[in-house]
This record gives sequence, structure tokens and C-alpha cells, in this order.
Amino acid sequence: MPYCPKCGVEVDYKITNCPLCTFPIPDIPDENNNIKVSKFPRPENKYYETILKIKNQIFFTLSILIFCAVLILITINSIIDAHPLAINYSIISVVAAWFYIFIFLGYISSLYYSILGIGIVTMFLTLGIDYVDGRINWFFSYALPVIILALAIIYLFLYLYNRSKFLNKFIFIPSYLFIGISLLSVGLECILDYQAKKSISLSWSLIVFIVLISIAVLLISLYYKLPDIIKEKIKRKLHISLF
Amino acid sequence: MKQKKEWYRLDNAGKLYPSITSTRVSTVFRLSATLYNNIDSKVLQIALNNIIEYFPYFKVNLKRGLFWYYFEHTEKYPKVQKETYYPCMFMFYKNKNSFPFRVLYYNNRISVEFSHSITDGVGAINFLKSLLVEYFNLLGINTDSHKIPSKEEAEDAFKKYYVKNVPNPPKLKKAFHFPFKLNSKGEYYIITGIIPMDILLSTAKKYNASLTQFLLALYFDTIQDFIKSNNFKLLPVVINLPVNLRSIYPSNTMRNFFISVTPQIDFRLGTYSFEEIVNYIRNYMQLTLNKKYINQHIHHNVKREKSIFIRLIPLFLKNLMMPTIYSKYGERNYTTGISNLGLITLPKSIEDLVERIEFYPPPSIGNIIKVGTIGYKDNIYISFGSLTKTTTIEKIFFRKIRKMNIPVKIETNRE
Repeated sequence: MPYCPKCGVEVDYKITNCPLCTFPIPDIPDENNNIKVSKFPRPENKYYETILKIKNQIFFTLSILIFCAVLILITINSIIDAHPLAINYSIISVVAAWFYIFIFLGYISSLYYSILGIGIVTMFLTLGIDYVDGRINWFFSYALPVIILALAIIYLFLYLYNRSKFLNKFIFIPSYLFIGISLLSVGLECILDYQAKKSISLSWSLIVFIVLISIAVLLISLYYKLPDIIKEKIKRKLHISLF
Repeated sequence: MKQKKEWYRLDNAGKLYPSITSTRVSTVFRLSATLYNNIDSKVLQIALNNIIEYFPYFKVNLKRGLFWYYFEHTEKYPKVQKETYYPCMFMFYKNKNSFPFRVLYYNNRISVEFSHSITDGVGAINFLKSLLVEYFNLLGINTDSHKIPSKEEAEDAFKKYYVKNVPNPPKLKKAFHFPFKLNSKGEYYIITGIIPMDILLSTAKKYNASLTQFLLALYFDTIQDFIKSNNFKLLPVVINLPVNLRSIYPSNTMRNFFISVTPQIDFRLGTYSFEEIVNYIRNYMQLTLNKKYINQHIHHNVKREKSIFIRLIPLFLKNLMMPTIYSKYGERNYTTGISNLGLITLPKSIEDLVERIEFYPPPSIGNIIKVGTIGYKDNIYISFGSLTKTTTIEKIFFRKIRKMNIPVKIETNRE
């Protein structure tokens, strides 16, 4: 019988690596020439197959519901003298909801593409809502910059999270969230100010930025640890041992 | 007139499981018997059809009530399936016409996988034994006949042996957990160590310990080595050890009837020698494995089920709350679990036709590694069920056994 030289345990013939330590096992021929009966099937992963089936069912049901909703709205529009704007708003929103459901159900496998998809659908949704009255009023000045800003911050968050997810997520997730929110608030105020006054003077977003960035820096520096001199000073002044 | 369908309440322990079941926490465990010849699936199906009538409490579908799930008798028959997936995979037994168990076959192996909502290891063993007996009967090997099921087999023994006005057992605190990365969903790895029973027993005897106590001590020592060699932040190590209560109370129920005792060692107190761990476990068992201690736990569990406030919560809210509550009061407080189903004996006429019997514990996200042990003929089969690719714990455990000069053979379903 073959053995693992490191673990000392016996293993089956034809096993190439020790199941415990993955150390290579010398190929020893079976002296009794027993026919090897495999003990396990080459297992299929039940999860993805089952989840896809459930997802398809959900998506199919919701698609029918959305299709019915659009039909009902068009019928109401043609029969009753409803306000055309209200009907158009509803149709655009329902169609956008269908695209959102498609993305949220995970049909796009990459997270980055999914987020990009959400951004694109939101762009079309806001463009459609803006264009209902036949004119584009606020899409290019407000909606588009806000969406691009939000996408950029989400991508930044994901990039930073992926770099540090194996380190200590309980420190990094709130830190990066705080950084993201502070950048978003500054960006939002810039856009709003510029569109309203054609000049930028930051007020509330600056307060949010300073508070949240300070907390984030504190959390991250706690993780990366402060220089010994500062640690010693904190210990001495506060009589506590945090580190 | 349409005949009334019989229905059963879920037993006290089983009530929890449908609410916490997910694709990762399948709450499904497996017992399998390996024969010397390939399985005839048609004969196996007939055997299953014949014996299921002797287990009316298993011939059921799970249904949703307003406040609790319940089992309803079904006239349909379960189908045997060829094994294609990883062991102990989730089953949608809440769906219409789905059984809370499955019978699988692969080459020369028959496996039964039960949801814990319907029975525990003892119920599953009895079912597997009956299935084997009937299978061999159909192949022309005369074995024992089946016994007629009694009403007692379907009882909720927790409620029967519940004692009022007993104080609650002390609460557990958060335990150490293995810091391993989870594998992909839908995968479950098994590493089984096959060890000669007589050598293991004689070694356990040297330490004045029973087999369960000895294995438990080895497991504690393994975790101690792992923690100390990696300098992890120390928390108490708590091992969940389900105890079959049929040995303490005179019940023959085929439904759940177990209580988990939780030996714990706090390695912040220092390094424990193996003898110290064995001593602790021996004393712990003597303190806890008695009616007075067990009554506390039964009382605690049944009291919660009987509480009018819990009963009045609609099922959908219970389903939302249960996973969090179970995590907080259940597996968060255990490091891992070890279930010993004991020595299994089959009728003499078929014993030579069954090579081995194995037991795989259910996968769980709270305790990503669990151990199931079972003895059959001359061997004991120790199976580690794991939701991580890391094999450090198994490696330390089996190397420890080898260092005691006990032979071990390792098998796995890992690629």
C-alpha cells in the first residue's frame, strides 16, 4: 500500500498527492492487481445549476409582469384621457426596472460590468424621464455628472477593497465607505454649485469631508499602527494600552 | 369521502432546521454502506418502496403552516437517484412533493441523506439497516423480517421527557472559529480516516478514556496545536458533542432526540498536556451526562418552543429571524462539532456482504469543519466534513494518531 512519507498515513493506489499535506506520493503498482472502484463520482456542482434554474424562473415571471404592466399602461393611455406625461414616466420606469432586475439577478457575471450596466441603465432612465416633455433640461447638467461621479467612486471603493480584502475587512470597509461618502458629497456640492451659480464655494460638504476623512484616517492608521513614539505618548497620557 | 391525510408536528430540535436551511447550511447528513458488489438500482427502488411503509413518519412532505412547518403524509414514493453531486448537498424539501431525505447509489455504495428536521443519526441508521436488509432479501438472501412501527417511534420525546420548573443552563460565550477561507458554494469536502478499532480502543484505554472521550481529547489537542503555532487571538475552544438521549431516557423515537453538550477549554490559561485534556473531558462527561443536567437543556429548548410569544410569530418572520438567532446562540458559541454514532451492527446474514459504513456530518457555515465518526466491524471511520480547501486541522489530527503508532488510511472526495 502506498504511504505519504510526511504524514505516515496509508492512501489508495493511484493517488498522486497526499490528501492531507499534498506531498507527492510515489507511484507504487498494485501487487494484487485489484480493480479500482472509484468511491466518489466526479462531483458536479449542484449550486450553480440550481440557482440558475431558480433565477430563470424569477426573471421569467417578472418579465411577464413587466410586459403586462407596459401593456396596461399603453391601454390606459389609449382608452382614458390620462395625462400623457404620467403614462410615459411609468412606462420608462417599468422598462428600466426590467433592466435593473436583469442585472441584480446576476446574469452579468463580472461585478465591474454589472456596476457599469447599472450606471448605463440609470443614464438612459434619467435621459428618458428628462426627455418626456420633448426637451432635455437637466440630464447633461445634473444627472450625467452625478452618475459618472458615483460610478467613479464605486470603482475606487471596489479597487481599494479588493486590494485589502484579505487583510482586515472590519477596518477597511468602514474606512473606504467614509472616504467614498466624503468624496461623493464634495463632488455633489461642486456640481450643484457650478450649475446654480457657475462658481464653486464648498460649505456643508467640507464639514462632511473633514469629519469622515478624519475617522477613516484614524481607523486605517490604527490598523497600520502608529509610530512607537506616538503610541508611547498616548499610553502615557491616557493610561491605556490600545495597541 | 376523501381520506384525511395524517400530519406530524416537527419535533423540538427539528423545528429549527427548515428555517435555517440554505444552500450552504444544508442541515443534511449522510450515512452510506459500501457493499462488495455493484448496486442494482431497480432492486434498490423496490426495497425502498417496501420499507418506506415501515417508516410512515419519513413518508412525508414538509408543509408551511401559519406559525410552524409541519409534515404531511404523502401517498407518493421517493425515488432512488444516482449520486452525481458532492455529499450532503442542500435539498429543496420545502418544495411540493419533495421528501426530506434522499437515497443515492454509486457503484457499490448506497447512501441515505437525511435532513436533520426529520431525524437524527439513530433514525437514519435504522432506516439504512432496514433498506439493506430488504435489498438483500430481494436479492434472495434471507435476513430478518421488519418489525411493525409503533406509535412511540413517531413521538416527540423532547416533550415527553420535559420537566417543568428547572433553571436554564448557563449561557455560552463566543468561541474560537477556524479562520479558513470558504470554498465555492455547492462543494463539500470529506476526508475519512480509517483506523483499526482494537488498536484505537487499547490506546484509549491506556489513557483511561472511552473512545468518544479519546477522540474528543485528540481533537482539542489538534486545535490547541493549530492555535498555538499560528499565534491566533485566543478565545475558548468549544466542541459541540451531540448526545443520543435514547441511552438516558427509555425512548424508541425515530425522530430527533439528542442534546449537545459543549466541553470547552480556554487555552488562554496555558498549554494543556494530552493527559490533562483527557482528564478534563472524562470529568466533564461525568458531570454532564446525567438526567439532571440534560433536563436543564431539554427544559430550556421546550420552554422556548412553548412560549406564546414565539408561537405567535408568523412563520415567514421566524424564517427571517432564525438564521441570525441560531448563529448568535448556536454555532457562534462552538468552534466545531464531533458526532459519534457508535458501533453499528448488521444482521449476521448480511454482515459479510457489507464492507463498510460511513457517516458524514452536515455542512455548516458557522462551523466550517465538523467531524462524524462511526464504527463498523473492525474499523472506525472518522470523517471530516469541510467547507474549506485548507486541510491543516485534518493533517494535524491524523498525524497525531500516527504518532501514537496507530495505522490510518486516508480517503477523500477532493480532486
